[in-house]
Amino acid sequence: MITLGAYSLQLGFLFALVSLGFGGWTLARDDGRFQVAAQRALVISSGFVLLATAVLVQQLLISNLDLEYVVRYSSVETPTMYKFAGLWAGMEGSLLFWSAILAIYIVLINFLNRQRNQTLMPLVNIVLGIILLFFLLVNIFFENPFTLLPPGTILQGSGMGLNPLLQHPVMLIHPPILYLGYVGFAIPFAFAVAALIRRRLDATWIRSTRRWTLIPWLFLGVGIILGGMWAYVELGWGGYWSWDPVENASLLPWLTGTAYLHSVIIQEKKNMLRLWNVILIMITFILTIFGTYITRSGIISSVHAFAATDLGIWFFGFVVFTIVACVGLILLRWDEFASPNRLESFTSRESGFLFNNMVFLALTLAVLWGTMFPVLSEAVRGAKITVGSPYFNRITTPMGLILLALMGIGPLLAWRKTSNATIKRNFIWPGVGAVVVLVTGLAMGVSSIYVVVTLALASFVLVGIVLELARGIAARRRIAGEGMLTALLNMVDKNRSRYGGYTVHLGILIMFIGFTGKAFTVEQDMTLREGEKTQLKDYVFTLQHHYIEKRPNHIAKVIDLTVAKDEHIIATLSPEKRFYTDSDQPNTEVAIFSHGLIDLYAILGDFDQETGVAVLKIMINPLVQLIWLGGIIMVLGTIIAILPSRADRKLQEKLT
Amino acid sequence: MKGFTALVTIFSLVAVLPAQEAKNPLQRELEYEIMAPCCYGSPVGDHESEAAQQVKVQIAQLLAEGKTKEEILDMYVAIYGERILARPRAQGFNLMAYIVPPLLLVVGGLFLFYYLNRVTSPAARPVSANRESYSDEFFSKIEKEMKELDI
Repeated sequence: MITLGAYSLQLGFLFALVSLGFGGWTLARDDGRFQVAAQRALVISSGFVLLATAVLVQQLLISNLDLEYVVRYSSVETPTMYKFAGLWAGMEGSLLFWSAILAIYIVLINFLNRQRNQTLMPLVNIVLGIILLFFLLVNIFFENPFTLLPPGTILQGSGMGLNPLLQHPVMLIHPPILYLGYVGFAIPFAFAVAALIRRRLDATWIRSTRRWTLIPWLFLGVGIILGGMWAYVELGWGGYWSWDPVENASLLPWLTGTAYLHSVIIQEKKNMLRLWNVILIMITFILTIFGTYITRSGIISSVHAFAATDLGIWFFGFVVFTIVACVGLILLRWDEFASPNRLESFTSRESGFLFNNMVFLALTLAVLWGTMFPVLSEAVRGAKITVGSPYFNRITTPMGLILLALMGIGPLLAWRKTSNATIKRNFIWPGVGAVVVLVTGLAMGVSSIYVVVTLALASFVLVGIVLELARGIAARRRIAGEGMLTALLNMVDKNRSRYGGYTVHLGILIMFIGFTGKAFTVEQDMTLREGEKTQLKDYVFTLQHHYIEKRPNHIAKVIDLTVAKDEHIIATLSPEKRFYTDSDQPNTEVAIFSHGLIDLYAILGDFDQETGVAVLKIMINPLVQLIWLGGIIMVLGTIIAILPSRADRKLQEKLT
Repeated sequence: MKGFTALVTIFSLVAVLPAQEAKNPLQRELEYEIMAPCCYGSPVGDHESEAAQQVKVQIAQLLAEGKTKEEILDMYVAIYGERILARPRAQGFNLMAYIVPPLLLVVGGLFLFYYLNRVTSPAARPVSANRESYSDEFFSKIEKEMKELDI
């Protein structure tokens, strides 16, 4: 089987090369004879990549200890579901996983476009082929997951096991979802490049890729939120976002992708911003590769690691190649970007979108700047520095608030020009909402100005959305005589992009409210003996028991901590300190109980078996659940926008 | 308006939890300004390693001795180097870290302002777009009708 996997990978590489040969011929000679061959070769290549991935998964599941990768990232004792997670636990596997997801996208996009976009598809396949070829090249020649253990190696134990931090259910879905997002941006990018080469820069390529942009954007967003959730429930520090370079790497393409989702609306409606949209999707794709580069090369932890990592150079090379190719292509097609339409007023929806794009881009560059600053500083001054969460919180919070404000203002502006009467009519109630919250907040003595401003802006956005929905429903009821619910459903169905977008906005504003909870977190480090109590705010925590449990691949030290409020026990928290026997690593399992919108969060440092003294930390985290709730609403909104409307479905039925 | 009421309720909820800490606020602030010297991966406040615990205890002792925040930070920099600070000090070259992001926003905003001013000025507008001759009221009526028809 190992041989089958290794050969599949090589055949995948070979067929991708063949596809590019045929595709290159088609493009260079403008000769369509090999067009179908190029497409089939790429699909076959994708098939081999998927086969190789299936073989690696099978090897992980049967714990074949002849394979170096299995030994390093799994063990016989690792629970079956976590053996599967071994696929993305190491560099070799995660690169193969990346290629496998690209392969799935390639097969899907070719199947769905078998009769559509025939002018662009051959070029789309060339771009996707180049990306696949690059990843397979790195996978085969530098990080091969099918490398056998050197002969004569004596194994101690039955494999090193999966990193305990990854042994959490969220970790089974977080990486695949994140990868689906990262890799998926290759599709609109490929279409943009194809449209540039073919000089088809009207809104057609944008419409063809609308769903192919929303899908990776959704996956990346959900992946980021799940990452936060994993950090919150597994890492044991009570937070969900630490501005770690790996986190930042996933946020960057999401930010530019969000800017792109907004600016394409202008091209769809007014056939403007052709150049800007091409640039935005190119930046988004480049950031997905750049993210892989900065997190995989080790450049962030030390400048010197860069020279030592071959892989870093390859990724850097690919980033440079993509940038040069994109800039060259844009310059070659410079005369194609002129639009027959122009902006008419400052107070227009178009201007709102442009300001949104500008702030998103500034935020992206700010996060990138902070992430790369230690490298720059070390190169200039020679001293290692840290740029951590206090820096990012300080820099990004004002920008986030500007975006929140724009999220409220944008939808209230009309296309082309907003009359003074409309401004007055649309802004008055959201404005009142914001002022009421602002005044209430200040009167109640909320100490953090950021919290008050966030809640005031959230109120502005919320009132705007509610009024927009109410006006739409009222109009439908008046014109079509529909009931409230029917009017709402029909209204949403008729303009899924718009109302899906509003739903996403609602999710985001709920998340922003959730972020403010951090300002009210209360925490306490303590030592407790059995029977001892401690009080934090209104909650009384009592250490009831401590015990040790031996489980299949780890030993767990557990404490039972009852929580009482108003003399009633409301929960028992059982945080654990685990020691994984296969990987020789300790790990913390936090215990969380959600009491309304307040999370009671307990982390066990350790306990002494003889004295019975436990060292622990208790946190009271308000509003964190709103972040997850906002995430769910965001997903719903995106699904509303992705699904076709009734009219679209009818049209599709007629066509088929 | 239900949503709005909910928002105010949430507000009340967070407002009744005063932003005071169970531990000394300066202690908490310092715990998030100093990185855990074991791995430099996160501030000591977020880290559960032995090294991080030691730093927390040291901070408490130093505060009890009457040391100021800056004195404590200086002490840690002297021992571990600048890397121990969770964010660089805004001085010398590291000032760039703080200047560039707001500068990007300001320059971007000014550029966009200039661009919009240029393209929306009457001089830049095609002759056919004779919108100025219509009143705001006229546009407002059209917008209202378009909205009603959900265009």
